[in-house]
Amino acid sequence: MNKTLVAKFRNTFKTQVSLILVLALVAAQSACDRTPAIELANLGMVTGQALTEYYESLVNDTNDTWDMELFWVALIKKQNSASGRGIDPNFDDEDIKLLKGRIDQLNSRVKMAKQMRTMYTELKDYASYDAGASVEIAAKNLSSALTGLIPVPGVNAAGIIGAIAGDLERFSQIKDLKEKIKISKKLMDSLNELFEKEESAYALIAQENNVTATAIAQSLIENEMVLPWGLLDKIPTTFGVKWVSKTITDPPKDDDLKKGFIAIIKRRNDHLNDAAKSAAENLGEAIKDLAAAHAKYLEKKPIDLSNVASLLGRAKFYLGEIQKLKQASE
Amino acid sequence: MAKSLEALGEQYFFLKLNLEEMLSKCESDSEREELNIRFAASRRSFNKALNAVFIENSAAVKELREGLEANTKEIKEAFERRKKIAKILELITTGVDIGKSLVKLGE
Repeated sequence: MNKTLVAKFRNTFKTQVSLILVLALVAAQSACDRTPAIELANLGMVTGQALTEYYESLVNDTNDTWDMELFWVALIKKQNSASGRGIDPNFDDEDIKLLKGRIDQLNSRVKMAKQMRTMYTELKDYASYDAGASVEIAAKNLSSALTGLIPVPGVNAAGIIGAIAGDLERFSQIKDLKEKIKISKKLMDSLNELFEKEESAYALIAQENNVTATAIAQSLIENEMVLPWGLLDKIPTTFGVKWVSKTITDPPKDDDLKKGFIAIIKRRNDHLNDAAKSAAENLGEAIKDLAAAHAKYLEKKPIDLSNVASLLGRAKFYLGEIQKLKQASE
Repeated sequence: MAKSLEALGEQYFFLKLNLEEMLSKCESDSEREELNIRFAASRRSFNKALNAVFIENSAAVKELREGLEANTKEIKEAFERRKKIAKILELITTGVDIGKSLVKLGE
């Protein structure tokens, strides 16, 4: 082996070792970036899912309110048509247009939340093993969901979210995880602004549903059309006593008893309203904290997502409570 | 906080929860008709307000919102004190008109 060849081998070896070392360093750095990115993506997925369920619950509330209102109006008409004039506060075309518009607005938010979940799922895959193609599709779908977001006229959702739609369109062309997280942060910031502006309206939509159900329950008790004894079911269970069958097969006729049952219904209404407010507040806080965690990631600061997880857990708890209370009332 | 939307919601929800009892206290069909019309207008204002944006610190919005809040309080008191339905109806009419003006500012 001549000297030139040995020198060439040494040089090549040195270059290769250096290259391996550089690659190892990049990989280590990349792995450091990837773990919190995967955590962000995980919480983004859970937030997208929670938001989907939340917006769907508001669509259901609006539809239920609409149905219940039609029944309630018929009940009122029955009470007040003795004179034969049949006066009632029924919906007219403009009311129906407003309700349909509200359902469309909420459904467009359901679609956006679903796409957000999908995008974070794909982002998680990308952070785990560069699954570029599927991220491209997810981001484009989210972009079209955002541009199709029907704005509440005054809130100007298009203005808030519109700017991010263009970024999502080029999401797939970006091959850098950090750049992708930058776009995700923009999305979370926009979503945070949208949710903050609309949060009161969300809580009031749920509240309207509770109030309508309460008004009907009141009317049914007043008019002896339901058996409200089930509202007191805990008492016989707790003390091991049984209802006298003739007590619970007839509706209460005594005015004071009726008032007592109506007071219980109103108390449950208050509880449902508090739960609806808490669900919206916790979800709003979770979105805000998740957006802040994206910023910390980009500043290379350690991120702690336990608070986001706990806020989302609380939001889900309150939504579950609402379901339980509604089922109990049924 | 959407204070104006909440003020409109508070009045509409109170009327909804108590409409039936109020109707039963009406002494004539014209009173019942008026009450139903006012209730429907309150509901309309609430539904429109969900789509409105209120500049809460504007003097005009603040004045109407506070007027509406005070009016709802008066309606509740009059109802609890079992005042004559004609008086309650008068208060509701005032409240509904304030609500309509408030919503216009947010549209």
